[in-house]
Amino acid sequence: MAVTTMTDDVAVRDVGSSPWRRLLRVHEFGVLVATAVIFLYCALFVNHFLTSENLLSVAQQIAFIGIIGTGMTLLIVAGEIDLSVGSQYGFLSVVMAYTLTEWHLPILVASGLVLVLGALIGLVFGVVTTFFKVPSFVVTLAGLGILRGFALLVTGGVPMQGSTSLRYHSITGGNAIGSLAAQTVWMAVVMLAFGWILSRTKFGFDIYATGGNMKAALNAGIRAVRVKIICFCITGALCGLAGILLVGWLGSANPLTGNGFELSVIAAVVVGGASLAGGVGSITGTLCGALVAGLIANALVLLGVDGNWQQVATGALILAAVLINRFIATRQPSMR
Amino acid sequence: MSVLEFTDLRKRFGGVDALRGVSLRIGEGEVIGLMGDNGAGKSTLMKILCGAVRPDSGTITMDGAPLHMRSPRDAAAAGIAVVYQDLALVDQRDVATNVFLGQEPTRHFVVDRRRMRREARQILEDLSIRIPSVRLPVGGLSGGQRQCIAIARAVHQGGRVVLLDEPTAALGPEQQANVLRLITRLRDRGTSVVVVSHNVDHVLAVADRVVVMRAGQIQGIRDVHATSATDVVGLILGDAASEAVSHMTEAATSASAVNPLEPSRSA
Amino acid sequence: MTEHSSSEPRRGLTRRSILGGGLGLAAAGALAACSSNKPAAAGTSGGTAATSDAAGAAAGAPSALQGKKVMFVVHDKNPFFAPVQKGFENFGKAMGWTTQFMGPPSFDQTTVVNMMKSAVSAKPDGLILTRIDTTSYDDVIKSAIAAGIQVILSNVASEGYEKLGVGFVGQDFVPAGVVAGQQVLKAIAKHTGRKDGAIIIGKIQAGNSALEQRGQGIKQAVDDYNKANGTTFTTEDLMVGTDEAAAVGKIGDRYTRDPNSIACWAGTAFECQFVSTWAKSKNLVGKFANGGFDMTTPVLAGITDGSIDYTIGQNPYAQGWVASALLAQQIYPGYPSFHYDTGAEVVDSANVAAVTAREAKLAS
Repeated sequence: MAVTTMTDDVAVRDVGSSPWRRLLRVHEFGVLVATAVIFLYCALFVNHFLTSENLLSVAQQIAFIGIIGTGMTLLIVAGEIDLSVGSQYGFLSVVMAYTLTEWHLPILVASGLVLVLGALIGLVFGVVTTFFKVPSFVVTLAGLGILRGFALLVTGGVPMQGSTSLRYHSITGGNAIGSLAAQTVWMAVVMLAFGWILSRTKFGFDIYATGGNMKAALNAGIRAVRVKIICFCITGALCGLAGILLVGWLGSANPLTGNGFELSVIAAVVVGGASLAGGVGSITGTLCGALVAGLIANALVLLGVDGNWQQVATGALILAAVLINRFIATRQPSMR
Repeated sequence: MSVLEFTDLRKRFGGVDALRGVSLRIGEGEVIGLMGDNGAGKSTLMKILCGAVRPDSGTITMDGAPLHMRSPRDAAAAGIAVVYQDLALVDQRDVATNVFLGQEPTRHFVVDRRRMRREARQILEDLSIRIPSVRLPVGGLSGGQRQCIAIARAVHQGGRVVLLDEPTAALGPEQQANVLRLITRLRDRGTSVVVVSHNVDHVLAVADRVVVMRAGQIQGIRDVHATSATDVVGLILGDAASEAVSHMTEAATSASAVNPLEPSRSA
Repeated sequence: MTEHSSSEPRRGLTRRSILGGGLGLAAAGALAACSSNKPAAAGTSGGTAATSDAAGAAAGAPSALQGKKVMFVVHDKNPFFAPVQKGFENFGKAMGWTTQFMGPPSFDQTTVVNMMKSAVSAKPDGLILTRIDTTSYDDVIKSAIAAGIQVILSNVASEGYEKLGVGFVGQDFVPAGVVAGQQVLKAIAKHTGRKDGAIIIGKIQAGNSALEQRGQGIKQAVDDYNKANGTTFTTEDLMVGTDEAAAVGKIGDRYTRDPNSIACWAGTAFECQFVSTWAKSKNLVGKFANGGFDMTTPVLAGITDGSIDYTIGQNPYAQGWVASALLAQQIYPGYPSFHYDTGAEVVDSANVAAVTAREAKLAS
């Protein structure tokens, strides 16, 4: 038959690609180039940009987006979303400050409590989403309101003092080496760990399969429901970590912490090449997405541009990134 | 000798008898074509065999030992694998990952991707499945290639009895031929296959026996060498309708080898 | 066939690299568009670049003060800050400074801190900040001072700011709240003559120490009045937010719960404009007293038409102008700054015309 002769000639190219070609093929290519171009532009044309102080300051500014964005990446790759991360982050910050000042818990105990509470919040979202089949968009939208309300209730609407421990402050908000902020180190640790888990481990493979095709994953014996719930728990715990770092750094928790933050986080993940349909995305991409947002915000201040332009630029960037992803997806299915 | 055997399987959904006592023995390396109209009980039978649905009564034995399945996981452990079209593959992942989906080789929790690619290539070659690179995302492959990868996975993951649900539906003629060839290769390797299909020609081309279901029971079992498309269609439709259709069927199959029951699919 | 299958990816790569380049260019274009906007924005808003023209315009400033770059970061860029910005920019213009005024469109602690950090990176000569809680902004203030930048607080300073060694230009919020409380009681007597009822203390934002302190002042004034006159007024808080539609809804809901209980709506910022909108739509003007803080255009319009009884001004213009002036003397010759109280100016029907005319000069 004709088919046989045609297919017999197809060369096997399982290992052919050079590293450079492989780089061109990855999802994050668009955002990598964008990051590089924006960086070069800033380095050449923006005064005070290319100083180690400023660059390290940008690296610190994206730390919270990076940490919470890591959880969000896992969730979006698994085919779910969490709109409540800003409220979770705010609520857990407030809880951290509350347990330190009202209950006088040791910092380590309070931190553990906050991490566990974050994971429990994720567990609730995950269980409601998967067992009651309510879309996570809706569940976490409800959570956004509920948790913000609790944050305001716990504090009575005023900022709450945290701890004055210098050690806590230096571990969470001080400088690790030179001007390298501790938060940047925390972000690096979180992103490296989960980047490795997502791209290399069995659990990471299960996350991609779950988000790519839930029924196929279930048919293949992957416990997809459990995978999703664990991703929700990780996201909650990372919001808790961000809250712990925030309280240590700023010394207090404002009940409005993280107001609107979910949009910045989702923007970073989506600009980083993840698909809201699930199955696509990476921690590297999210890091680049966060970097692009951080660089633009920083450059506009250094350039003396009206802050409102920052909103416009960020919005335009999200749109451009999503359009490019869509273009690649429709034009080149085999290269995705 | 028989690999999979089931006796007097019954299942009621609400007030409807989906299965009313179905029994069959499937031999090693035997290809069974399972046919029947919509609502005949084929899909209920498949779901019971792959562990997704538990029968109300009846027994299933594998190699003579009774089998009690509570989930598809149990069925897979017993060596029964099911391949649903388009419910099998993760489009965004590459060929190697899809062949190993859910059972990736690991070393200290880390997926051994090199080994996975090497073994995936070996599996595809063993089954003479032609794919240019195991690094390609399956979303970009043809329907026939995707079906073959799904089947390869079922076999690789220890499937001694492979259940195929409409494996040739929505494929072009060349791709259909590839899939049918793969089924005969499975038989040669000693794998038992149950093919659910609406396409009489395809079933007759690959199956050893054709099992026709009607209204929750087995209407008839035919050896492919001792039957014809007309005969099978007659069993599917029942006595009353068969007479009227038989003339049309004969005329159509001899003229163009196109199945009149499935004009759009086999075209 | 072999050649075809290997040429396929190469075509893909080319297209992809074009796409990547396109995104990069688009982003660069967006930045370029923003930065090319800078001279125009600086021109219209009064911040002048340190060019020879600007130096000429500021011939009166001592040479040690010419060509300075000064930045102002606020915690929430709402309408209140328009006259603050004006005072800041006008002073900058007079001195021949480059000025930059910024703040997030909605309040978020981390965003504000990040913006302040970027401002420090820009190495201005002077930096004016709002400090709306007692700890969060201390690190960035200290780092600015360590980098040799002159710093002063404006609008809100929060407890303990003195230990940072910086000055503050703004209202003393508790006393200002007491002044507001006295106006509340006067307005209640005028409208209804009631001796009891609830005074609803509106809030536009949680977590802002200034608003909390004003609320405290109002409560203090009401308590004192109750003790002195044997009245039984009560106070309660109501968070309305800054979104007008949502705020009107919340105000309406509180009224519906117990219409007769309300003696006065006493805002801690410009909530009274929302109450005014709502009361006019329900034809309830005059059934209770209504007042608040700040002199935004809708608030002054409300006092003119009688739907608002009073507002307490805090001279926002001074919070820009005087803060800049104190900053100037910090830069040269180097006097330390101090607390400058911008006061609690009572605006009611008696003086609203003059105040409106004054504020209108800042509008364009």
